[in-house]
Amino acid sequence: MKSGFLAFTKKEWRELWRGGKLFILLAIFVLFGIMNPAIAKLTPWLMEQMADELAGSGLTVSAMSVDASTSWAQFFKNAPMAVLLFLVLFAGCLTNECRRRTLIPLLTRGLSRHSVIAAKAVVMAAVWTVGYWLCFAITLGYNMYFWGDGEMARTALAATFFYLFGLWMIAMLLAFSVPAKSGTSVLAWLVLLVAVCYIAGMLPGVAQWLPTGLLSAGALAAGQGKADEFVRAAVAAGITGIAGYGAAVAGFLRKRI
Amino acid sequence: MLELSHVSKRFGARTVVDDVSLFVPDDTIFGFVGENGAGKTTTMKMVLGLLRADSGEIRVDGTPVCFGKSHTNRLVGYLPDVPEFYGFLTPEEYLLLCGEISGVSNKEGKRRAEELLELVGLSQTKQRIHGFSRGMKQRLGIAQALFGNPRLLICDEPTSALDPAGRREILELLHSLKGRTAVLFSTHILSDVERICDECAMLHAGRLIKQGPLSEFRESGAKGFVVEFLGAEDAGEFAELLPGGIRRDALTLEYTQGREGMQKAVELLAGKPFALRRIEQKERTLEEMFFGLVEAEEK
Repeated sequence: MKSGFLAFTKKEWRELWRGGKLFILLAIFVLFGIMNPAIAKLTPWLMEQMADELAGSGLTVSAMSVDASTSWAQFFKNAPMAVLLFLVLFAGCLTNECRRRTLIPLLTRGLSRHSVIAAKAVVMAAVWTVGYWLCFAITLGYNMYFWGDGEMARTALAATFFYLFGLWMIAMLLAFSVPAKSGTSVLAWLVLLVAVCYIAGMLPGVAQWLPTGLLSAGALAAGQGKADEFVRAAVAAGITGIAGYGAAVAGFLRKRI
Repeated sequence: MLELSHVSKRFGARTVVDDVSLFVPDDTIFGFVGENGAGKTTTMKMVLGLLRADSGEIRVDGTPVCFGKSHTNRLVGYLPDVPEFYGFLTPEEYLLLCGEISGVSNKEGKRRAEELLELVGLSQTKQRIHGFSRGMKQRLGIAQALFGNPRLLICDEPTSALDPAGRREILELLHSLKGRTAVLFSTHILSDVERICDECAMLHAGRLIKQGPLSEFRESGAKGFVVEFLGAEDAGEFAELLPGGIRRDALTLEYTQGREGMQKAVELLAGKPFALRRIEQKERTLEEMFFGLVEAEEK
């Protein structure tokens, strides 16, 4: 099991590297990391440039003040887009292998099915961890350079909640990859899951227990809401994430390949 | 080496494999014959634990095969009909991946990879697999299947997608494995079985219709003999000595008698100085025999 897991994990890294996916993902995270403070910094200048035009329409632009919180607000606005791009790039990671039948020679050599799921989970989680926190660190670095030290505890906690949302999505992606026939189906199921969570969130008392609640973690960084509300969503994400991973392993053990 | 006893498999209402029992002895090249859709691939996938058998038992070297588990696969090498590999790897990297999965040390893995790439004629190929032809993939497939020194090599129609040259190469390669490992070789090309197999099992609509050593197939398929002379006079004289022959042409006589008739003909030929070109037993080809058995099964 161990040798198979390590060998398959190595193969996954090599595939990401040689296929250019790793570069694309890291470039996306770096770009988002730079964009967050850049947009915050450029907004007053842009508004100034547009002031005359807006004045013609009867709108008056007053002097804008931006600081690190504007940049962090941008970070939490862009983070869902980063998750979406991440999921699009990984959606076919298991379905493609099943469709192309590349797993058959390895499974018939003794590679355990659990190792396949575990290796894919570890590699996705590692890329998400490195990419996400790299994006966070770049934004933090620029924020400190432009606006100096600020209150970081709530921001770091909010960023951690959003990071957990990414891990939850990875577990769900794996769970849907087992029955699905293509990466597009996996994405469709993920979209449906988020939509169902949003609808369920309209019911009183349910919203705080939904993992999708972690998507609003930016509010915590902006000083709104309490950490407790997000802890419930994080616990729900943890439990359902572990269940999703377990379902992926159990389902893959029974899958006809 | 491999034993299937009363194995059945259904997909919905359709029975794909129906009460199949067969035995593949050690170091034998075993032909598994049947038309497309006869149940060959399903049977092989059950042996590999990729599909669950609805009933019956499968044992590899005495160990039962469990669906979804891979412990018996350590004894088995598998070559799919159209093997697919990771295009971003070179053949050597792919074999090293196989070695790592099998728990072989890096040094030993490199040695085995070099040896097997040499065996299948890919030792000079440094390009990545995505540029490989079908024949090259098939050869790499054999190399990966042999990587762990398997006791049983399962080949699912390894020649059906190849051109004649590629087919000959693969058959020669499989034949060279004789005595090294048992080979279960599925095909619908019966001449391939005649060329390299020691034993054979015939499958039709999921049912096993005949199995045994190829020599037995040949004997049971014997239907008389042919005597050909160099001169028409000798042929005429022999036809009088041994009546019952059908004159195919001026030089050739065809008899329907079995082994005893042929022995008598040999005695007669030895008794007189006939100018003989050949005397040989007429055999039904495996193909004729297969269709005969299928016809009998369907009646």
